Amino acid sequence: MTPKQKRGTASHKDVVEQDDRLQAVVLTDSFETRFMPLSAVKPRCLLPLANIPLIEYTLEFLAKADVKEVYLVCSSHADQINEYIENSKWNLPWSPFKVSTIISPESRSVGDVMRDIDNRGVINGDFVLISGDVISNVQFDKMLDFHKKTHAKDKDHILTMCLSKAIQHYKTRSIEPATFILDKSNSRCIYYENIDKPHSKIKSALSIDPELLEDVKEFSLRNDLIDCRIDICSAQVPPLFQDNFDYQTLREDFVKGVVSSDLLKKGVYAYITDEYGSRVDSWQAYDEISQDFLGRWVYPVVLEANPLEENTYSYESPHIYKEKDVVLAESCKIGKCTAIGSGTKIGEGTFIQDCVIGKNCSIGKNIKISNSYIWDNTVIGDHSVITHSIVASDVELGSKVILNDGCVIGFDVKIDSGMILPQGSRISSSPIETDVPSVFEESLSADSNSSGEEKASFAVNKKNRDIIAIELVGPNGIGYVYESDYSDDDDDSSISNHVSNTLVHHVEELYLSDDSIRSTSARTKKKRTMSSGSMYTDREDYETEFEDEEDFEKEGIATVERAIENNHDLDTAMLELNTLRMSMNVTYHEVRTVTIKSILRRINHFIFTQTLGAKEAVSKVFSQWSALFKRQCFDPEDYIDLINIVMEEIMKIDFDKPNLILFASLNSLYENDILEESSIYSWWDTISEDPSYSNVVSLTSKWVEWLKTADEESSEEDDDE
Amino acid sequence: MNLQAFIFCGKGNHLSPIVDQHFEHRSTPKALLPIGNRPMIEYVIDWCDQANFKEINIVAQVDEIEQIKEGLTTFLELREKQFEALSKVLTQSYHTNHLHKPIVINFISSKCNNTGEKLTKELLPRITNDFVLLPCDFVTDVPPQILYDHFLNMDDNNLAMSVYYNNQIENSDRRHMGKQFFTVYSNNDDLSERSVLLDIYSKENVAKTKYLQIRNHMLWRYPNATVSTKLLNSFIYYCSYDLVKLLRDDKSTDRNDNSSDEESMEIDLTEIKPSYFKRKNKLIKDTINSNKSLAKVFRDLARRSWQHEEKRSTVAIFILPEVTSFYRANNLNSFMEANRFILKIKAQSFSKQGKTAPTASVIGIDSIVGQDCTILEKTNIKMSAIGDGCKIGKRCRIVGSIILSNVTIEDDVTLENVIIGEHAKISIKSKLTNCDVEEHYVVPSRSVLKGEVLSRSEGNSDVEASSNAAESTTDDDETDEETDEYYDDEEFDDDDGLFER
Repeated sequence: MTPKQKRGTASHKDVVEQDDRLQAVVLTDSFETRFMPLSAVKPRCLLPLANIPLIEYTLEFLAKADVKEVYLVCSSHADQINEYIENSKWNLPWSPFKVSTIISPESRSVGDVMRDIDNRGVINGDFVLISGDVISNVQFDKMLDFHKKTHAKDKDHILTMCLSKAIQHYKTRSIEPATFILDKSNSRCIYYENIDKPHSKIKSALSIDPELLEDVKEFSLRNDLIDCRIDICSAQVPPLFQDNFDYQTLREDFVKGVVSSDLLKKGVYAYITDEYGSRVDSWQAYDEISQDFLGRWVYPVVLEANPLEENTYSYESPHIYKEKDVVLAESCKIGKCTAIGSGTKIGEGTFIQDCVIGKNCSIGKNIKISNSYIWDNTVIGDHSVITHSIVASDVELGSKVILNDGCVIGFDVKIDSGMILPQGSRISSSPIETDVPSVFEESLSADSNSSGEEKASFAVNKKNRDIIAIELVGPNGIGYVYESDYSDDDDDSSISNHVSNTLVHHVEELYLSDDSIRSTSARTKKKRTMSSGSMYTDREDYETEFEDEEDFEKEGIATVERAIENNHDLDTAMLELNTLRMSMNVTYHEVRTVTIKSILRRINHFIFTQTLGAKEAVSKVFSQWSALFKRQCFDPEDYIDLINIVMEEIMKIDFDKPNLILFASLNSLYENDILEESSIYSWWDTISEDPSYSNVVSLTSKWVEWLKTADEESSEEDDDE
Repeated sequence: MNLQAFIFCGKGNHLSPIVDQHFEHRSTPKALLPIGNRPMIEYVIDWCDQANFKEINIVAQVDEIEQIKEGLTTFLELREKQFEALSKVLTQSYHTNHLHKPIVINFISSKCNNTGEKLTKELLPRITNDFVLLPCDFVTDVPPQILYDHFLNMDDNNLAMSVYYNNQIENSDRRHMGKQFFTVYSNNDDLSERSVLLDIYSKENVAKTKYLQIRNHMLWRYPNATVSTKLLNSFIYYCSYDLVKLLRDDKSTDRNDNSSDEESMEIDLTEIKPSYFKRKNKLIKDTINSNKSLAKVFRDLARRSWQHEEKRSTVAIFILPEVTSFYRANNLNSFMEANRFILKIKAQSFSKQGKTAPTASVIGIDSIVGQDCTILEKTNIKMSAIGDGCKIGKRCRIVGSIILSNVTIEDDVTLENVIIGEHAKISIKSKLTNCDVEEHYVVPSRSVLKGEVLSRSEGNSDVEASSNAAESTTDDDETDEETDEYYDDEEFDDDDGLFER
C-alpha cells in the first residue's frame, strides 16, 4: 500500500484540530466498467459532463456542505486525479477545505476502500461518504440536521442515506433498481434489496424476514427512490467493514448486512428529499443528467455559475449556454438545451439541439447534431449527422459521417468521410483489452462490484483486436472496435447489461421515459416468457427452428406438473404425454427429459420451501412417479439415457447438494425397480472418467461401488446354494 | 342514495365460548349478542337508517335467520313507532321533506357456506345497482355519509372501496386477539391517484413460509407502497355495479346485461350524480374463484391490479382516520371493547339511573343493567353491562364485565374483565379475572380463576385446544373469518394461472 500523500503546501501544519470539523471521503473509482472505452484513458470522475469534469460537481457540493477535510480515494488512474487536483482551485490556499488524495491501488471495491481508510485511521468522527460522480443540489445542512436528530434518538444509528424521490426523473433510476423498506414513523431502513428490472424475465419476489418486522407498525416499500450515494456515516462504519471482510458494495452488502443482522443492532436511516441527486453511473444516466442539468433541474447548480475559473458561460433562453469567443455562422441554428464551449466555431446551416459542445471544436457546414455530447477539440466535417452519440476529445470526423444512436467515439479517433456507423458502435483509438476475470464476474452479477474498471490496461498485440476497423472508420481513419463484454452471452442478466452499455435510446427504454412514470412499458416483454405453472424460468431460445421442441418442452412440463400437482393416476399422465409426443412428433428422449425436469422441479420446490429435506423429497416424488419411466424406456440404451438426463438436469437446476440429489434419485429409481444394475454399471463406465461431472457423482460413485459389492455377495450366496 | 345494503350475519366462531354451535341447543346467534344490552345488529341497522340506503337486506344462514327475525321484531316495531311519533311532530313544521319512511328490511336466508359464494350465487341476481356489503358486528361513530362521499369520489377504475380501520385495542394480554395481517396498499403522497388496496397476507402465513414475499411486479407498478400491521378489515365494502358484471357468470351476462343497463340508465336520468363523467371501465374477466370468504375475494380482486400486464380495475382502500372509533365485535377482546365503547357513550349522555337495585348497592354511571334484575345490597358495579333477569347477590364487585341475561351471581363474588354467558351461575365467594364463561356453566364456590375459558364440553385446560380445533374445522364456513389459508405452493400456482402467457 502506498503511503498517504498529504497535500496542501503549508496549510496542514497550522490546522487546529477541531472536533466538529466535517470530513468527507470521495470514492473516485466506481469499480465498474460501464464507461468503457472512455474510462480506459481517463478516470470516470474526470470525464466532462456539460464541459466540466464530474469530480467538480462533487467537490462543489462538499464545499457547500461546509466540509473541512476531503479525502479522495483513488485506485485506477490515480496519477491523473492527483495531477488534476494539484492544479485545481481546490488546492489554493483559500480553498474551503483541505484536499488529500489517498492512493489505494489494491482496492477492488468500496469495501476495500473502507478497510483501507480504517487502516489509515484518518476518520475521527462523522463523515460524508460520497461517490465522485454525484450531481446534486441537496441541501446538506438539512440532511446533517436529520442525521444528528436521529442520532440523538437512536444511539445505534450509524448511517444516513440520502434518497431522492424519483417522480420527475424516473428514468435515471433504471440502472440499479433497488427497493428500500423503510419504517414509516422514523424512516429507518428495515431492509434493502436489489430487484430485477421491470422487463426482467424472472418472476421474483422480495422476501422479508418477519423477524425484522416485529415492532414495526407500518412500513413502506419504496421502489421510487434514486440513491444519491451521499451518505453520512458515523466513525463506526469503517471498522464494521473491517470486521466483515466480505462486505464489498456499500448497499447490497453493507446496508443489507447491517439491517438484517440481529447481532449488530445498528441502524441505517434514510433521508428522503425532493431535491435533485443522482450518480452518473451509466451512459443513460450521463445523457439524462446532462439534459436535466441544462434544463436547470439542479438549480442552483447551473452552468453559468462557472465552477471552473476559466469558464465564461452566460445563459439565454431557451436553456442555451454560451462561453466567450464562440463563433456562430449566420445561418446556423442553435436549439434548446445546448451548451457551447469557448473557441468553438460552428459553420453555415448547421443545426444543433439538446447538445453539449466542448471547447475549441470546429463544426462544419450543414451538420445536424441532436442529443449528443461533443467534447473538446473535435473537428466535424460538413454534412455530417450525429444523433444520440458521445464524441470524446480530439476526434476528427470527416464529412458526411453519420453516427447513429448510441455511438461512443473514443479519444483521438479519426473517422473518414462518408462513413456510417451503426447503432451502438464504440470506437477507441487504441485496442483495449478487457480484464478477463472482470468479464467473468460481470456476467455473473449485474451489479459488477469487484472488477477494476478504469484500470483496464492497454494491451497491444492481441489477436483481432488490434486491427483497425476499416469498415467503420474508413481507410484513412484510426479506431478500433471496443467489444462489449456482454454482447456474446444471451441470458437474461446480460440483456439488462447490454442496455446499460449503450445510450438510452433503445425503443424499449425510450418508451419507458415517454410514458407516464408508473407504467413500465417493458412488461410486454416479461410476460411472454413465463413458463407455465412453474416458479423457475429457465433459459429459453427464441429461434424459430427450435419452436417445435420448445413447445413440446413447455407443454410436456406443464402436463407432468399438472399430473403431479393434481395427483392424476399414472395412466392418465402417460396417456396425456403420449398424445403430446405423437402430435408434436418428438422422440422418447424428449419425453424423458420433460418428465425428469418436472420431477426435479417438484423436488426443488419441496426443498426450497423447506417442506421436506432433500432426501425425503427425492424419495417421495420418485417413488410416486418413477413408474412413468417404465413406459418411456424400452431398451438398455434408453435407461442409460435416462440416467444421463437425470444427471444433466440436476446440474442445470442449482441444488445445494447436487451430488446428494443425484445419488438419492438414482437410488430411488433403483429401489423402484426402474433401473437394473447392469444399466447402472454400463452408464457408470461411460461417465466415471469424465472430470466435468466429478463434483456431481461423488456420492454416486460410492453407491455404485456398494452396489457392485452387494451384487457380488449375493451372487456368491447364490453360488453357495 | 341508490345503494343496496347487505348485512352479513356470521356465526361468530371467534366468539367461542359465548357463541357456540357445538351443542344441540343453539345459543343466541352472533348477530343478536348484546353490546350494551342491545343486539349488535341493531347498531348496524341504525347506521343503515342514517345512511338512507335504498334497501336493507339481512343475509344469514337458513338455521339462524328465523331466530334473528324474531329477535328483531320488537326493535322493528319500535322503529315504526318512532317514525310515527316523529312524523306527527314534523307535519307541523317545514321539515317534512326530511322525513323518510323507514325502509323495509328483507331477510334473506342463505344456504352457502362462505360469503364469497353467498354473494356470487345468491345475491347477484338481486343487485341492480351499486351496493354495500356490511358485517353485522360493528359499532362506530363514523357517519355513513363520509364513507359514501369517499365512495363517490374514488377513482374511476376502482371496482369497489374497502374500508379499513386502525386497531385501537392495544393490550394483547388476552388470548382472543384477532388475526393480524400485513395489509399492502399504495401510497398517494404525490399522486393524483388515491390509495389502492394491493394485497393482504396473514401474519400466520408469513410465519409459516418464513418470509413476507413482495412481488417485484407489484413494486414496479406501485413503487411506493405501504405495508401496515395495525390495519384491520372492517368488512365494509362499497361496490360499484361493475363488480356484479365482473362476477356474474358469462352465460347470464348476455341475457342480463342489456336489461339491467337500460334499467340503470333510467335511474341515471332522474338523478344528478358525479358519475355522469365516469369513464366506462373496461372489465376484463378473469376466472375469480369466489368459493371463499369475501375478504379473500376482494384480496384477489386487489391482486389483479398488479398481477397482469394490462391494467385491471382496482379496489380502493379507505382508512378510517385515527380520531374515529370503530369496533368490530368479531372476537372476545373486541366484543369487550365494543361494549365499553357503548358504555362510555352512555355514561357521557345519561345521568345516573337506578332501577331495581336497593339504595345500598352502587351501579356506576358507566354501567347498564337490564330488566328484571335483582341486585342485592352492597354490590358494586362499574363499567359493566348486565343483561335481563340477572340475579346478583350481596357484596359483589363487578368491574368491566359483560354479563348476558339470566345469570345468577351469588354473594361475595368478584368479577373483573369477565364475559359470562346466559344462564351461567357463579357460586359464592368466587373470584374471576379475565375469564370467559360459557352459558349454563356453573362455577363452583370459592374458585379463584384467572384468564381461563370455562366451557362445559371438556376439562378447562383442554378448552383452548378444542376451540382451536373447532376453528380450524369450521374455518371455511365462517362469514367474517379472514383466514388466509393458502400455502406458498398454492399461491404460486394461483399466480401462474392468472398470468397471461
